[in-house]
Amino acid sequence: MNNADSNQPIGKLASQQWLGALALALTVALFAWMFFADIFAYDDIGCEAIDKPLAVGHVLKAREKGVSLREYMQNDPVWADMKSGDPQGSYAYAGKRFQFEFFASQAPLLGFCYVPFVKLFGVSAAAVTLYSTFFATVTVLLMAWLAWKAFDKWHAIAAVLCVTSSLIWLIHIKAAYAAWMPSACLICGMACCLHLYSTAGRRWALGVAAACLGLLYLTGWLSHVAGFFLLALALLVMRRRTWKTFFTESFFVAAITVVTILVVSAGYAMWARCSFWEIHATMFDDMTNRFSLGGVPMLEKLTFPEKLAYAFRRMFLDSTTADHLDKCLEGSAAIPPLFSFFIVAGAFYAIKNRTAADKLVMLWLVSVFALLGAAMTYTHRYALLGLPAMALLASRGVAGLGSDLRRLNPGAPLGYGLLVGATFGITVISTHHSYFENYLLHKQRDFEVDRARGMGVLTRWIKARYNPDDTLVVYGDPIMFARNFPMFYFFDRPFRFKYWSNDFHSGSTTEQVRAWEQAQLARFRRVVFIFSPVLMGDPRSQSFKNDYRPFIAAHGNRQPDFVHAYEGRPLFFAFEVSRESRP
Amino acid sequence: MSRKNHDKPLRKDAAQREPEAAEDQPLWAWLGCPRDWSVGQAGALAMLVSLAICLLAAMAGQDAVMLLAARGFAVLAYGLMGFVLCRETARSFRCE
Repeated sequence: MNNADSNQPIGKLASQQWLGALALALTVALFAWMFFADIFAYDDIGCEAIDKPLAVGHVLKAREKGVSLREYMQNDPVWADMKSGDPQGSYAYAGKRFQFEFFASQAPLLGFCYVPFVKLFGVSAAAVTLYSTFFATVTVLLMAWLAWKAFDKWHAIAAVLCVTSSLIWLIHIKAAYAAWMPSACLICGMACCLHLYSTAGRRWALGVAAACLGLLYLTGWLSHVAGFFLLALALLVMRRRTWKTFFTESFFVAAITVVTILVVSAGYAMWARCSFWEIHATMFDDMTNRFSLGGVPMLEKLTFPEKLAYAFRRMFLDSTTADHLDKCLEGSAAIPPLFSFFIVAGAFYAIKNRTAADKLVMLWLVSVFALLGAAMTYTHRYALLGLPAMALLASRGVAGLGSDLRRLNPGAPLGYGLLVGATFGITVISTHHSYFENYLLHKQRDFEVDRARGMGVLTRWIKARYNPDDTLVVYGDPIMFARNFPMFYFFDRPFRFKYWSNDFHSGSTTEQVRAWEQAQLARFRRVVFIFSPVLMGDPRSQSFKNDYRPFIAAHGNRQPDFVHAYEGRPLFFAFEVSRESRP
Repeated sequence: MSRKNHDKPLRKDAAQREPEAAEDQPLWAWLGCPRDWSVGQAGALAMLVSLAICLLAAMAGQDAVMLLAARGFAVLAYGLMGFVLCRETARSFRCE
């Protein structure tokens, strides 16, 4: 199956070509269905996916106004609401910088990557989804190209099927943090260049791989570490040469990496009107902050092999994680069992055949997964960097077993190919069903999921009824109504906002509420109050920090103007108070 | 890669005795022919086996003995990985 058979009859060759074309068409159709068919089905996105497009949107606003980014962040009234309403959250990031100044400066390449999407689709869920879809598609195309060039078309088809049925899509929307899809794309591009360098000895390809390493630094330091290991191992292992050539090439790589980092970050600093040094200080602080903060408490207690087992279990058996937002991925394995089986088979074929491409794939896996065992924390996003290599290895298993079956019986590969293709098709459909049915339409009850759920509905309701010039929005508390959601969904119509929990609690009186409302109505024509039914505090003493009951008491037990419920449980409810409605 | 370069062409009977290259053998035949394995291949296979035992031991039990075994096999797996990488690195500079 993976070896070209030149002595086959013409008719058989033509039938194989038709079979290959059909398999390719089905694979492309499955991929397109998975990534493009229901692309706008869901407008509630992960809270970390919001940060970068929102920061880029504000950089564009600062450019329109012709002021520096810092000046803009200091003077914008809605940012001021955020800083005063939730000071702890606003300065929670590395170096105690204002959160969105941090996001605008950190990882400058991602800022550039997001610009066309934000310009075309605004700061919206559509921009986030299309950004992720675009880089996921480029990653898969690069991986397929590498599989085709390094092995053959059957490997390319099998690799695409593996990826389509697995983790990449889970990351794609559920935890669409800006960095990981472009990082996977860049590490794939680096692997393609290293393949050209190791097989054809092309120095320019090594230069492009070094540029990819520089760009990886500008997406995030962890992906840069994995990329550095891959490039260093490839330089050490992939080609036979003298020490002098090795040191010359290493110097060449280091120079191009550094120049790429400096040129791109300087270009971003000029474009975004921020400080060049601030960009690098932010990225350095981000890295050191991670080490000083430590990892996830539960993982910190584990021994070294237990961390390995934890990562293995999360990857291949049950993707539920104990700590992070990626826990939205619960319920099934991140890597389907069929994919896992072929990874193991592929590892044996790679060790047996030891071609240059086999070595490259193994080095890629070592670069990513040798780090995971010792990681302070594990999230599925880290493993995304190694996913194309896992798919390439699995494709080695698919094609290798097919090739061996042909030795037993020349007719066997056709049946085997149909069986494997059908099983992968079912796996892709099952993955699609798990996501779009079980997660999007019938999501499980979960605090993290619930508090992000329905934010799109809420903001559409407010935008349809109220005007930002004369309306103040009061959210119950910064935990159930995380600060970045309103900033994201109200980007084009920025409403001034406050948090109820900053001024009131369970012990507040009706008079206090009325006096506060009176003061707000002197400035705004309307005040919209939005509360969550989830009360946080001590149930025994009935003392809650986000208690909405003083508001209800002050307004004579009036019914809410808007209620949003999911599967029978209310997620939030809203009241409107206006000058006209006041006695 | 494991094929040898011969300066002189082999006699026909010698060529017939020459073991098949790894690429030309089915996986099960290759696994059943220890004489064809290079040290690097044996090391890589041993690393996979050590890693598998480590993971099974870490997932199977929480008692001290199992965790000690898991730690031992994890160290062995990483050690073997280091050995294979060092060997491949040394091979890449062999032409000096």
